[in-house]
Amino acid sequence: MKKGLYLLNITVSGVKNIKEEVRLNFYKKTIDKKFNPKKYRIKAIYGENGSGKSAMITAVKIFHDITLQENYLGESKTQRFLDEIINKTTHTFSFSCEYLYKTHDIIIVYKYAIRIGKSKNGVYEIQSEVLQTKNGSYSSNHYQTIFEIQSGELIDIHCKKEERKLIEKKSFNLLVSHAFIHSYAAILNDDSTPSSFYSQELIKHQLFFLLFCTQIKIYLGEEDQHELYFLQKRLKEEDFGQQKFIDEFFEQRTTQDLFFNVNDKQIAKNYFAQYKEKVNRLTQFIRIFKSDLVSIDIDAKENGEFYVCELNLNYGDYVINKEFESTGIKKLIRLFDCFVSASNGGIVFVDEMDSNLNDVYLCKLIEYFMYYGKGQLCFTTHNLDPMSILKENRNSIDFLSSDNHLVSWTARGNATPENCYKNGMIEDSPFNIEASDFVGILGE
Amino acid sequence: MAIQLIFCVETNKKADTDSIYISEVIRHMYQLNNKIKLSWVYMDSKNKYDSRSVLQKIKEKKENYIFGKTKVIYCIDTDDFEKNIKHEKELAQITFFCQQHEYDLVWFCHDIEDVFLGKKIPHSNKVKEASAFRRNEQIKTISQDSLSCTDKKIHTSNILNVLDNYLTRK
Repeated sequence: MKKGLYLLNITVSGVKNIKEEVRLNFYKKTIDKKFNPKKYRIKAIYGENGSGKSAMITAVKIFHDITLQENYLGESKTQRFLDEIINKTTHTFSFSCEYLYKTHDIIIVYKYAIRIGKSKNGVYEIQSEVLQTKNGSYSSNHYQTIFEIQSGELIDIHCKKEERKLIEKKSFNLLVSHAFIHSYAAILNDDSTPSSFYSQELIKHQLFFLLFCTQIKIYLGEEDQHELYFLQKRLKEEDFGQQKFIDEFFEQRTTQDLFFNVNDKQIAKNYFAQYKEKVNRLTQFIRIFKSDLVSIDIDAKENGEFYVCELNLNYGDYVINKEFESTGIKKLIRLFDCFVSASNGGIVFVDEMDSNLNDVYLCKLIEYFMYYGKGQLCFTTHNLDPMSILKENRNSIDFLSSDNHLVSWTARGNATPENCYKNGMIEDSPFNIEASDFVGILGE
Repeated sequence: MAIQLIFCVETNKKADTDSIYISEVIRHMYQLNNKIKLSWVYMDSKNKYDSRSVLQKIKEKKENYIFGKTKVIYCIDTDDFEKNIKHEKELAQITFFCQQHEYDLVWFCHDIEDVFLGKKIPHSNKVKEASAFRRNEQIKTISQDSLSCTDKKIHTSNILNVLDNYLTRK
């Protein structure tokens, strides 16, 4: 890895049935100048039904939404969602992660943590939010705080006194309902203060954070991500005094990968040409599985500055709307954006990657990411076949037990992870289940 | 500390009625958690207790369970050991074998159906009867005293005495 962002780990608690902290490591513990993530880029999470695999991905989605959607916590649908999804006994959701930015000669490591809890009036709000950084060239380096917020109060921030005062004044009452990045961006956008007033170092740290968030893509079996589109657009178009850096960063990933997905229905007119190009790539991708596919045609209808697009799969003799394709092909189309992102440096989380996908296709796709992918791919699955490929890597197979204990696969002589797992020989996943357990329950 | 209990049962996997009764005892009377692994070795017949394949299966399961201790429990019908010299000898040999290897021996007098159903069951009806036992939750009607015996008397077993060493009662 010459340059780019890399997610080192995430720690999650208080989502669905996950009460205590569960940590996923995407790299070894020690970070130094020899950092090389080649063998760590892919991770599969296995676990019994109800063990919390989807909860882990949902936690990433909550973090992602808070940081990318300005008024996420202010929306009533979010509050209803959090009420359902946050652990019913703790009523507190925590997410933290470490990520790094590497250029040719430096490694900067960041640690971000956010905690959301229910306030006295029954509304979920931000209880604490912290961003820290350290030089990652030596493992012994310590973190320094960039900002820290506790109960809506700015406890610490890495900037001049006057700037701190201004931030405190302008973010008053906002820090419990908005991620700091949003309050900070609003302050920067205020034309009444010259940009030279602000600490360029603080801006840079915040931009790194924002860019890190834009690198993340989550597939929970859903929907368009317009928020990401608008945020990325804003980053490209607004001047934070760091335009050179932003441009440099975006050069690493083609614009077409960042600004829309083939699964989006609304496409900005100025990106339509790139969208068409991406649909052509999708056609090539689907043709690997369906050799009789002639083309994927775009049915575009104008709607202001957007086109509302439908995709139709043309097989020569007949045409099928994407939504009426087989569930497997539909899944491949939906995952296409994630696959493209993971191939080009993105950080991708996919829940139930194996559902509706043929085992052979699944394994070949995983093999592709292992050998050619430039980003990170983390997925949950029940399919054991990928284990035989994944075991070649490091930290690539994790088992989540029903009591939320995470165990990473480590080589054990000739034993294979798939045999150990299905025979209940993974710590805390005993699988005490036998065919005879169904006798008398299912049959006579 | 995690523990694996390997139950060596007389049945084969296709007509595995022994594990139904033993599982019913464990699930109704003991607390299970992720630190307890229940493994099964199907011997196919009582006289294969020291066969190469049975010993190999035990060895594999022990070797693969690297994060806790393993205890092996032979689950054997006493058959008519009081009247039949062959049965008496067989039981004595298995008892000796278990002592030698520090394995536990769970006995059912005279067989597992005698203990849980109170009667002998023809081979062809064993699955059907075990199925009804589970469906009707008959385990609740079984006296725990009859499962905690030290002397081999008809309709009794020592299963709870052995399991109490490793599992916690509900």
